Amino acid sequence: MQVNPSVNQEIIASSLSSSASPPSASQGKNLFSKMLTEVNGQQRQADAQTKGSLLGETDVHEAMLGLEKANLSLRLLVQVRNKLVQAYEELSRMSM
Amino acid sequence: MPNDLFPDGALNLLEKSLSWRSQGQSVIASNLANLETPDYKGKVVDFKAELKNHLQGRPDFRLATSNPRHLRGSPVDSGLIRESEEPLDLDQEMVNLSLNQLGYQTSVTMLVKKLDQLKTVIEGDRG
Amino acid sequence: MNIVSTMELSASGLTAQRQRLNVIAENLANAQVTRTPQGGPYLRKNVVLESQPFEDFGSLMESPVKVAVTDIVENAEGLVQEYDPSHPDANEEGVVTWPNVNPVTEMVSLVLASRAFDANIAAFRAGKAMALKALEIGR
Repeated sequence: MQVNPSVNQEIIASSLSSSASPPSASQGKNLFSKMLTEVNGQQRQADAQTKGSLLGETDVHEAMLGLEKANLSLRLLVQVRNKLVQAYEELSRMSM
Repeated sequence: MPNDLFPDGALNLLEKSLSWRSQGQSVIASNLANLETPDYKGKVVDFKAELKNHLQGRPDFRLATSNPRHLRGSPVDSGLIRESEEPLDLDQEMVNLSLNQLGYQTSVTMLVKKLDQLKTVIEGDRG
Repeated sequence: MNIVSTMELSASGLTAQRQRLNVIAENLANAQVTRTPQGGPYLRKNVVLESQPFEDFGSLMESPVKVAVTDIVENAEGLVQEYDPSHPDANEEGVVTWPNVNPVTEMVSLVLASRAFDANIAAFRAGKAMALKALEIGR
């Protein structure tokens, strides 16, 4: 399984507890960019599997699983981005 | 616009695959209708070859024109439909019908999944 | 192995069984024919089924095999001789040679071929159901 659950849990935990203890900006950014590359890789793999299934080289269920994995990772990434943006807005409100 | 975002991606291929499958459907239907017709050569749609052609970027076939009033014709999916060397067989045609429908359904499902991804990004503001 | 290739395999079974059915029907229809264009009685026909590997597989050891009818042979054994000088096809000694088609045997073969046909259709349907289920992943 491509998506590393422990990494994602780290990100979610750190971004959810942003109001209590502001995390270092660089730490959040690194984890986020790591997730980004992962999602990108999964998208590419799902694309390749789709093409393979059309050609008859890859099994259909493989391609479907790949597409679903890519979908879920993307949705997780979007949620994480939302939380990060939320945290940033809270922080900027605090400093006023 | 989605096609501009992924010009060579799976999205384009899936769309093409759908139109080829529909053409395949009419080919198989005409084969089935002409099972008893004498001198009828069964036609076959070669998906794999056409897909490979498309992936390698075959040239666009257009009619040569020497006069501006000549018709240019539409881009032809040459090589998609060809005559079959084997005799027309009811069972094989029925199987082809089923496989064609399956292929169509597969392409549609995958296309929907890919479009859902775009939707996720566009409607990112959930929760 | 691709599920689509599996279904093509079932298709080859369907074609083969149908041809077998055709030959049996021909035998039954010609069971009483004493005069054929080649002269002599009708000779019972039989199909020869052969396994053929798929073309696009590299290793022949694990590749699945499809079936094909490679030959339709005539069988001249067991022709029935009957003494009947009044028959127009009787020879100099008054003996008529009837075809070697036993309707009972042919009917049994008919049922077997029909069952085999049904079995191949069942296999095809199962393959198709599996592929359709795979499309429901993530729904």
